[in-house]
Amino acid sequence: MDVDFIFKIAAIGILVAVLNQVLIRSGREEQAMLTTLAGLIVVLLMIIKEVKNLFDTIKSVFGL
Amino acid sequence: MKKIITIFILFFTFILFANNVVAQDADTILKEQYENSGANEITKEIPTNIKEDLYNIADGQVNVENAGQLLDFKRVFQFVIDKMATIFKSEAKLFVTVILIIFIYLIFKMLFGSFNNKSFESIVNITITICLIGAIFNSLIECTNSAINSINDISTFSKSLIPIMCGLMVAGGQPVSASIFDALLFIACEICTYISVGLILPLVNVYIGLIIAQSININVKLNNFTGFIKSAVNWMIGIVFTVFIGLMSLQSLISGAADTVTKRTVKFAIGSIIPVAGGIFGDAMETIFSCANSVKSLSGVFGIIIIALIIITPLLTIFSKYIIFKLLALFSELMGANRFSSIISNFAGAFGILASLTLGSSILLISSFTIVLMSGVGK
Amino acid sequence: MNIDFIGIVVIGIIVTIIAIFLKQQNKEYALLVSLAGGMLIFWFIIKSSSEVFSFVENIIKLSKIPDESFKLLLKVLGLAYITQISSDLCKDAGENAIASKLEIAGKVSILLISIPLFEKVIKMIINVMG
Repeated sequence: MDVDFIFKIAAIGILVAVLNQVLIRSGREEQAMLTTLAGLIVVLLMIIKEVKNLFDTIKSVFGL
Repeated sequence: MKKIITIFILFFTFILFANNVVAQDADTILKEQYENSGANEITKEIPTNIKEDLYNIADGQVNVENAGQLLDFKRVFQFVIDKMATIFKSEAKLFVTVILIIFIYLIFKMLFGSFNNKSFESIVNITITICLIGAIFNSLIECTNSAINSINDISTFSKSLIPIMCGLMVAGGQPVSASIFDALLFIACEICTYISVGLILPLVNVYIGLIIAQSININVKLNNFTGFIKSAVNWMIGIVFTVFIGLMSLQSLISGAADTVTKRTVKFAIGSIIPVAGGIFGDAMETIFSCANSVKSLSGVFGIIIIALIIITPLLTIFSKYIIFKLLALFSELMGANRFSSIISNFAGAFGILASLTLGSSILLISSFTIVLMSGVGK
Repeated sequence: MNIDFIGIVVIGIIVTIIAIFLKQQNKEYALLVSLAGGMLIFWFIIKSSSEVFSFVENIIKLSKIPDESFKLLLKVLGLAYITQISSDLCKDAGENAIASKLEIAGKVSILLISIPLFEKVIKMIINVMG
């Protein structure tokens, strides 16, 4: 895990936000909602992987 | 002719069967009294670990006769210094352990201090307190056991010394004093045994229980209670010992006067009943009495030295632990671990109680024997 | 990637700014970004604190104290950190109720872990009192 991870998530977030605005303006609101949801799920998956990583490290360091 | 033969036979019989009457000199009397009173046997009563110390102080075999050489001040001083050095070296490990525990406490306090919750602190406090108590506990129990054993040892040794001293006092012309001191010295030994068996162990247990209870919940202010126990012990020791020693001194004065009267009366009676050699008998009696007195003094000195030797190692150990724990309490207060400074200084207080009880019983016995020794002086 | 303290501070500031920026667009992303940033910082903390812990373990081995007490303390520390992280995250998202439930769960698990310690204390007291 390094600093790029944050920028990846931030980039995805900004991208999804822009796509959201574009799709809403062009009238396709369901697709806008779908893209937001899809982006959310992707970011969530990435984060959950890293969270599991982090908690495994914590477990090993503290001996839980 | 028959008359001459009869006289000759009678003369021969007389020469053959008459015992020799020889005037003994002082050295033979001394040696006889050493053996008869059993003063030479007393080296068997010494506990074995003290025998090594004796050999170290006085090179070679020691018994009552050369007890005087044990009083060489330089040798005794050297011995005490060596003992203290050994004891301090063995205490160093405990010292380092406690300091490390305090360091770890400080580290963890800092780590846990970053949380908003106060409840994490109590877990740290409890854990570190348990480690601390576990580390210090063993040394307290060891010291208590060695104190109890040594007080029992000096009590047993004194009990075996009493018949020798009283026998010598009777042989030295102090029958009244002998009977009274016999009873009083025995009472002193019984007091010591009671202290070691019935007093030290319960007190120390109660003290430890209070310390543990106080250390787990720091809000329980038991300082007054532990202070009360300490002052109660000191008061009790002071009163008992003052009463006892005062009683003994007064008894020695009274019985000393009675003995002087008895002795002089007997001497006068013998001197006036036996026509010619009465005065010589009186002087021979004086010689025997003074020899018995010198044996008594030497045995008494020897006994006191042995008592001091038996008690000195445990006493020095307790004392050094007391000093070390006071230093550790100061150190933890400096480092900011305030709850530990009170726990550690309470532990030091427990050692203080042990020290006062041990020292008190040994001084009781030594003073009693000294009073017995002084009663024969100056006739 | 070896990042020292200044690096961590910089990362924290950057993540905060990004999160505030994303809050207007998409609240969920702001939350996720701050979660990711927090985890990153914690990751670096753990990496550099392993030295501290090995130092503490050395001291413990040196002083020959039975070390199950300290293992317990380390475990409690880890549980406390995890509880803190998760409850802070919930509070940031505005879910105070969930945050306090998480805290309660954390405290209960800490108590569960330290039960053997309390048993030891009680045993010691009973031993002494006879």
